[in-house]
Amino acid sequence: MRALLATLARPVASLRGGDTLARAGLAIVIVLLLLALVGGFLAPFDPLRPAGAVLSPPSRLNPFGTDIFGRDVLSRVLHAFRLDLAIAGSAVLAATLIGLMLGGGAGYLGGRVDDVFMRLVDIVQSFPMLILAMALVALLGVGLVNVVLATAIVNIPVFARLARSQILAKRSLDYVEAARCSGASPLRILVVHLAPNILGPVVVQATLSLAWAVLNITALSFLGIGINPPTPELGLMIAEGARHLVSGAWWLSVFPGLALALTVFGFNLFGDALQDRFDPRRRGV
Amino acid sequence: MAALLDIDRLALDLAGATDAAPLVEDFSLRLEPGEVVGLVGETGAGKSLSMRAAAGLLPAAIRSVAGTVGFRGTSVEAADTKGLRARLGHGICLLLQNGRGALNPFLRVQDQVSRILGYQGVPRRERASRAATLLEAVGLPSAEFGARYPHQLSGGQAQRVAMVIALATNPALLIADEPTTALDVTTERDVIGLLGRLCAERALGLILITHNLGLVARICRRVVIMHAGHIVEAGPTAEIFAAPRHPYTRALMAAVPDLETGRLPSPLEGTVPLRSEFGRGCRFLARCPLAQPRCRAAVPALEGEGRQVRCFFPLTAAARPGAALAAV
Amino acid sequence: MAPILSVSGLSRIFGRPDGSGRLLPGCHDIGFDLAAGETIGIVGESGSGKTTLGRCIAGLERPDAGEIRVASMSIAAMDAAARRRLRRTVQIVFQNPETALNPHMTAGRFVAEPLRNFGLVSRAGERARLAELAGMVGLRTEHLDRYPHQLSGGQKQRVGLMRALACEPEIVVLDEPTSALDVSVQAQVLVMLREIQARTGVAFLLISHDVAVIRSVARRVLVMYLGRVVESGPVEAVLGSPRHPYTRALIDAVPRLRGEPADPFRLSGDISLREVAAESCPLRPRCPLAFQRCTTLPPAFEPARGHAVRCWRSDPAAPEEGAGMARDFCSA
Repeated sequence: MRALLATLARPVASLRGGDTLARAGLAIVIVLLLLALVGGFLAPFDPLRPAGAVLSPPSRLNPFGTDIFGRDVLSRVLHAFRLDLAIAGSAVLAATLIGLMLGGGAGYLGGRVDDVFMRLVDIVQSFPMLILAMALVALLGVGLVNVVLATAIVNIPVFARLARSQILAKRSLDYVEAARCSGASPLRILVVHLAPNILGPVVVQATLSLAWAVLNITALSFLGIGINPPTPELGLMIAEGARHLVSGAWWLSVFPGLALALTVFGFNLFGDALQDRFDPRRRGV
Repeated sequence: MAALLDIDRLALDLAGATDAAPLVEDFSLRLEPGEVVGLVGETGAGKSLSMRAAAGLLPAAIRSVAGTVGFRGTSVEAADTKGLRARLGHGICLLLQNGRGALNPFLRVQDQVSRILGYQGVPRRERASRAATLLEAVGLPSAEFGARYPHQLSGGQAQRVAMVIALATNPALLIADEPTTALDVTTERDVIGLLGRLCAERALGLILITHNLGLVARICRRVVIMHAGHIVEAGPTAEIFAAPRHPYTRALMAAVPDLETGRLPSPLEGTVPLRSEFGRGCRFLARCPLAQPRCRAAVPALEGEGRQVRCFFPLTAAARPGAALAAV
Repeated sequence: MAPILSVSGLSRIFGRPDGSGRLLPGCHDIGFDLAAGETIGIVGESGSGKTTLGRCIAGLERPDAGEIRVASMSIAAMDAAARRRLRRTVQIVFQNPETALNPHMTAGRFVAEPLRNFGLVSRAGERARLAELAGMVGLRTEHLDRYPHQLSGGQKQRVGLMRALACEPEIVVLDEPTSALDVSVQAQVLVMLREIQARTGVAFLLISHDVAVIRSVARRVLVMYLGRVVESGPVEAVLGSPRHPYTRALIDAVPRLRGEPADPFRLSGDISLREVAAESCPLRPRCPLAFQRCTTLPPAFEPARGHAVRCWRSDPAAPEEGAGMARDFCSA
């Protein structure tokens, strides 16, 4: 377990010494995670109650302005961001775990199981992910839990495919066979010898998927089949604000939009920079 | 007559280095047209690096700090990468270890060769027949092999096609970097034999970079032995292998397993020193059984005409152990 | 004394017969005995099946037919616990030092695995045992704290050997252990193998394409071609006066420092399954000495005690054409 954690922590820590983009990605992700943790407490107002005049432009009291019900947009953005990240995070985590188990198992067992499983994955992947997520929500019903479920399910194939290809590539490597000769149990081989060596690509994929999942959830809400009002949610807020753009109330959708863009940008940057850090050769001598 | 290749006092170092401990130092090599020379040493000796430098193909982390590279009478500074690269494919050609890697996997053998001939300005209608002639010359009848893709060739066949591609540029000098390391001994014998024959037929100069002393004995008239960035001994192959004068050459020869006697080879202790371990003295110092205080103080010069050796106490022809010491 | 390893009729075949009657890749009907503390060399070109044979013996590949007996016990008849003990008894060292070690583990942790898995030493004694093993393969204890990318090729190969020795094996399969190394390092490793054997009494199965390496380390040798043993016996006999055209060609192809054979024996073409019929001598398409009888697979003739040759040219009772040529060849 310690080895697993070290494998994870070291590349992330090494981003500090990286180029400007890598450092920017790391900084954005740290700020975003901190905001997600404590953002709710920083919010000056209750996101569900009026905090000033209706539709007032950004001011010192309401830095991001207020919406049609007079609620503080800054407070709502902070809460919404936390909600979106939590949904995306739990969906991707679930997708990663399930994907790893299914793909890893199929790759390890091979044969008929593998064939059937991979065709299923092909079928799922032949639908555009957003359309599939919409169909799933329509099927399961609108609501927080179902949004998490739908986002997780459409993400599983990516991780299953990745885990399978990694297991296939690594399981017959000399050092894995040497471990087998050393009397290591299959579980130990999987956890100690295979996992750290396939973890890199998986974590990178998870980071990139997280960015995509945030977009997916906001898109569902934007279309009105995700999170229900009055819950603060970025997609929902952008949708509400869009109706008032023509009347000049730009702050309603621009600030949530910026928050969304920054989140996706930050995680993508972070994932890309992480990609080549998982090569153990890049660890210091 | 001008030499085909004349590398003069080439020195290479790390691109960002502030202290002076050149990776390769005082590397001089002269090659007459049609001459076949072996360049030998362990991994890290700087043999590939020196020849890459001469071809203008150094990796970004390393730069030439001194020396000139003459080719057919025109001399270029070793640091002038552009000037050196202009010669590639126009007189100088490289042959690398992995023959298949040098081939385009999507092209049939005959198309690969024709394409190179096209670059050389051969008219379209002559290309096919020229390609067939070249393939024939390396023992790959075009009727059987011309239509194959690289993955349908064995390692030895792929290396021969790579050779054809090198020859298609009509070079005067071929630099072959471990061309047979990945091949079986039987295939190696064929490929090396072919290489030697082609060079003789076309008066092609060849520098064979290898760690296999036996291959050098087979086709190279002259041999250059490198250790840790220094040429330690150079001269006619037969003479050197009959009576090596540098302790390193002797040790390298003793490390080759002997098929006739089945004697266990005597290992050469230690490893090639790293750049950080280069001292003021001889770079073979730490591994040398005959080292003296003088060897610690300065790097010996490469001395001699025809047969050169870089050692303060070269082994004498009567190679009694300790004979060199007794002479001091 | 009973051999520590006894292989008979071992076959491992890849692919299914396609009805064309062609030979399939793998190894076919291999048999030999390895005594405790002995070294047997297996030599052949790539594609000869020598690695497959080594992997079957190390338990990494399951043979399709035949029997492998370790210390007089048949592997096929064993229960899971016995198989696990056997795992420890037969170890393997791989050819490529770059892939032989887990890149995320220090050398010391990698080597300590079998000590823990098999419960060979107490946790307290682990450090001392590792130091002892490191000394045996010529590494210093500080090398144990390094990751593979911080070690040279030769050092990685020593760590691989150290892991195998940590299992306290009776047999180590060495699959081309020195072919990725410089001659200087190769000599160090070969000398070290000899010392380890003298000290621990382990038996080696040394797989190599280099007859000179085999000659200097092994006592007996098996020469393999396309999955079949074509010649076997004591190294002095097999490599000193080869009887099989393939062995002869292999020996004559080795580059030498002084004096090449005046008239080297050559085969035509490359090793390839393409034209080989399953029931004929596998070397037939390449062999300049092939004649009518070579369309059937020759049995193993024994021209001298312990020296066996699978070639019709070695048939002592051959009355018909070609026998004279065989004698010429053998005396050459």
